[in-house]
Amino acid sequence: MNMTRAMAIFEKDLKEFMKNMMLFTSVLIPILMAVFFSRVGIGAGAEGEMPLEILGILAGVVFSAVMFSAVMTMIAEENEKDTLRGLLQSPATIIDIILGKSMVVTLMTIISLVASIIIIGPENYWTVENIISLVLTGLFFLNVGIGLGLVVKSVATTSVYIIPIMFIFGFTPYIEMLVTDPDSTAVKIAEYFPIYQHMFVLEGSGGAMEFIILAAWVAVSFLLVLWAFNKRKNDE
Amino acid sequence: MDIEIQKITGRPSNGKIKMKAGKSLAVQIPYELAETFSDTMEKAGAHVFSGGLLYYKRLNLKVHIEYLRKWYNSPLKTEDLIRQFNITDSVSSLSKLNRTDIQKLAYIHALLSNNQHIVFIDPFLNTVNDNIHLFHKMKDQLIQQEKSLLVASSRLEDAFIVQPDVMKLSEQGLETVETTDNTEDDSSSNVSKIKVKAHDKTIFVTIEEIEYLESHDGKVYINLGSEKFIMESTLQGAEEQLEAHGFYRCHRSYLVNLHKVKEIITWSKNTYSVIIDNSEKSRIPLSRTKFNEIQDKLLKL
Repeated sequence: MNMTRAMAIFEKDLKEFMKNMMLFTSVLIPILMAVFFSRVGIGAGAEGEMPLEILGILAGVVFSAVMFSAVMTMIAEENEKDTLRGLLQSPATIIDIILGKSMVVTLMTIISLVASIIIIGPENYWTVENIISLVLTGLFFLNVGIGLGLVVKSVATTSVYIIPIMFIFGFTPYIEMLVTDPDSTAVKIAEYFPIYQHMFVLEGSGGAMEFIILAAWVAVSFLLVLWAFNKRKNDE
Repeated sequence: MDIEIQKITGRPSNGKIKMKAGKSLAVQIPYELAETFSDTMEKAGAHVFSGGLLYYKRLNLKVHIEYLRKWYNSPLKTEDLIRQFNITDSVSSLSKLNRTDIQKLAYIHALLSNNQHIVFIDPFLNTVNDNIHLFHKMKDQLIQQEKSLLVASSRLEDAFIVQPDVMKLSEQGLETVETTDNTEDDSSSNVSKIKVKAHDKTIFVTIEEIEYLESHDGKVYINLGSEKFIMESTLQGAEEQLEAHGFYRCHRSYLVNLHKVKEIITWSKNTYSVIIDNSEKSRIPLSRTKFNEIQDKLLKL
């Protein structure tokens, strides 16, 4: 790993991120949603307190629309335009590239999440437990983005993955609106998904179990990255 | 770094392309082999620059240079490079620039690259003379940096833009293109047309319309405007026939119509080209030994 290279990529991609309207607007979506929710929430919620599901979904939108989709799109664009040709002299250099890109999307994710949460202004959000759950959930989405980004060959193909991942992993709490019976298997399965673990931790009802489940999701997503790496190496 | 010829041509051969530090090579390769050649060089670990300009269209030239400089941890300075390569617009994104501006970035990229072996494939297709001067600037610097440069081009006249000694890669292997000049004897005729063959037709070409003749694979090609015909003669024979009409053997493989010469360009100490007055502004190689003589001939024409 070479930090000067990772920083070179970080600086270049940060500038590209700002100039790419598709990526840049994705940072604004959660913030606009937060504005919208905060207006609606004041009337509906008890004493103006935001329902837990809304906070969960907001985090899900930030992670899927910014972290996951941006890192995937950025890697896919390099694949499509073949812009890394000549730069990849050893397999190790791709790690520098991914590290640099991950730093850009992490920065953008933090900006988007912090801004949205400040707009809504819930109490007891920034607890140590909750921050750890956010970091683990973020890592999961980042890994999925990197893994799929390495495999897809063009920016157009990324949209095939963005919608399902966003609905399944980003908007998981919406299942309670589709399936009203709380004892149904679908809801039971959904409760093992990453965003639910984050919500349980945020609620204060979470214990070690939630963190173990989150760590397992991160481990699975990391396996996806390793698989994508090998697939790419064999393809070349 | 040595590259075996048989890997490129797919035919048994003992020949090798030898890339040495601080040296440059110019090779003419047939168009069909260009892709295999590029892949082979890339696999061997060289940094290959082919026609496609693989950069980020949303970013400007300055950001690109800065990024590449940091990536390769190069001691060269961004401001110096911008000045050296006459970059006038370093703030507009690449999507707003034209191809010749972006081409300069490839030259800068080659200078910044930490790879010892730099390969350019057909760098003079779709380019302007200013960029060829910059290419020579880059070549000198690469050699100063003790790197090795290989330029492969599909047209022989382009290979001569790089340097006077040129090699030729074909299915038969690698060979040096001879550039020693033959002595000629005088003979003249008063014909105004010559006979050439194109497929099944025999065409009579007005001599005045010919721009230049080139000898290639043992055949003589006549170039007029956008057309190319095969002539059933040797270049030596054609020279004897056409000398009286103001044709001049400017290079071992080229016979140029002096009436069509527009200018002579000096690329470096010993590489020159004759520019033909046509829409393509064809660049014909000019031997170092003929540099003074052709000027006399042009003045007395």
